[in-house]
Amino acid sequence: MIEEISFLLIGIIAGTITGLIPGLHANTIALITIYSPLEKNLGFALFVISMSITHSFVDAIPTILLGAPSEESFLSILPGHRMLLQGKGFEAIQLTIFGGLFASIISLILMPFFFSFTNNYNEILPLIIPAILFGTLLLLFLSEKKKPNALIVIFISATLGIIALNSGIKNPILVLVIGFFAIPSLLQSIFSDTKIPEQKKSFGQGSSKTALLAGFVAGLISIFPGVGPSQAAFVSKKIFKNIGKRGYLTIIGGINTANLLFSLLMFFVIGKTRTGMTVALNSIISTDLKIFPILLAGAAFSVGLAAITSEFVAGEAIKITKINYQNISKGILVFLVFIVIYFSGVIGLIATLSAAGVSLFGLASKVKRGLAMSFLMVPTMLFYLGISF
Amino acid sequence: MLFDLHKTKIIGLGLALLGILVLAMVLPEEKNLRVTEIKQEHIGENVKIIGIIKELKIRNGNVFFYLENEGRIKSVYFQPKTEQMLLLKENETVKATAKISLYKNELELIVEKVERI
Repeated sequence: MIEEISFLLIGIIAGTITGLIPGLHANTIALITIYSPLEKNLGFALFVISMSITHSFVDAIPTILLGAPSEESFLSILPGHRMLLQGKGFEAIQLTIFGGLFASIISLILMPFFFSFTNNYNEILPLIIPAILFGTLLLLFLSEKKKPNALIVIFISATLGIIALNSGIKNPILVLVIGFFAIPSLLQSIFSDTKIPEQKKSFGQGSSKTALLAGFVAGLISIFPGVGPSQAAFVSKKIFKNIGKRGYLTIIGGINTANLLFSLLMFFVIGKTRTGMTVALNSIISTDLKIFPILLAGAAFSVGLAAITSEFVAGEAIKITKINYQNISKGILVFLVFIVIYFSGVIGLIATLSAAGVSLFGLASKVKRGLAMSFLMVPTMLFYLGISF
Repeated sequence: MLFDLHKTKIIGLGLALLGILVLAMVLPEEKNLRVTEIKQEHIGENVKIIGIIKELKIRNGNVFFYLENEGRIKSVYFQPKTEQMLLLKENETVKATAKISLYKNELELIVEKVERI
């Protein structure tokens, strides 16, 4: 028992550190652990789980405060940055933490339901996904005033997504996320005289209804291969339009964490590895159902403690905005370029710069940046329609 | 329903405590036993047991030996990893984490881990 708790605590410390490193994906970290020389046992499995869960909470901090995203949290850049400019960066982070915590509790309650759902409807549901994605994209397009420009953004983003995901570029989503969402925000911060106001450590309110939605959506995406937390959060926001930026942050935080819990269920029920965490677990433990409650209890412990840790770290991290924000943005930009070159090479950097170009074109033409999500939505649609390149 | 965000850490603490409670209930209990204390009623249980390795044999990557401490019990370690294999030496005193089973009507330890003492 003490050994297991120790592994969980070490995982929380490790997840806090990795979550604070801008641009680092939880999947990358989980996969690196496979190659570590440590003994692969139940304790190590608990370490991987608690590290991945904590990472999913903490990575909202650099995303919101520095505009430096990970693959999972990048959607929170925009609403988070708006709140940061109002001095409510801490509250924005707190909303993602609230989402993660509550969606996880709801996920634990909904697990038996999704267990039987998976067994009965596993084959029918994937047929609905392309229609939902297409409908969302169409609605987005129709809401734009400058339709030719919107069409250009959709077309180039989708083409870039298809090429990057099928061309063998390493970590294609990471390079495109940095290009589409991080670089334009950072360039804006560097070249505009935006002043980040002092951040207040104030607490607002979160909607438990939105957290419930996040838990449910996370359960649904665990059933469908190819649909990740970012697509699901984006579609949810478009379907439930009245959730606002606060609700959107709750949903993003909720889906990211609850998705990990559901991926654990899918790993044990149908043997599928849908997250980096379960890929790592696959090489550590067997899918013996006797272990599942142990891992789930460890996950619940990690969620609870990670929520507390993240709130504490966020409270300390908001002090960073007192430093010259333009210099921080320059530093982050250089760091992200280094990350892209290190993980994906020069070809990855070309893809990042192309994505940044499209995004800047969208910004200049007053087209919503959300349309750049076509880079993920269109390839996912094609995957479900059986079209491959 | 709206929820005050400053209460998040209280809920977090509650969930963490619930996690510990469930862990305490579902984690397999590992008893510390002596060789002479192992009886038929312990079959299926996980135990920690200290003893000296005797009559060590390696066949197809599986290690067979007797663990001696006052009494002796047949033990088998299936496919130990290299770092574990290095600890398995004749006359070495080790603490073994193992499951008690019955093989050919004889009590046996299925070893999962050994630690040097």
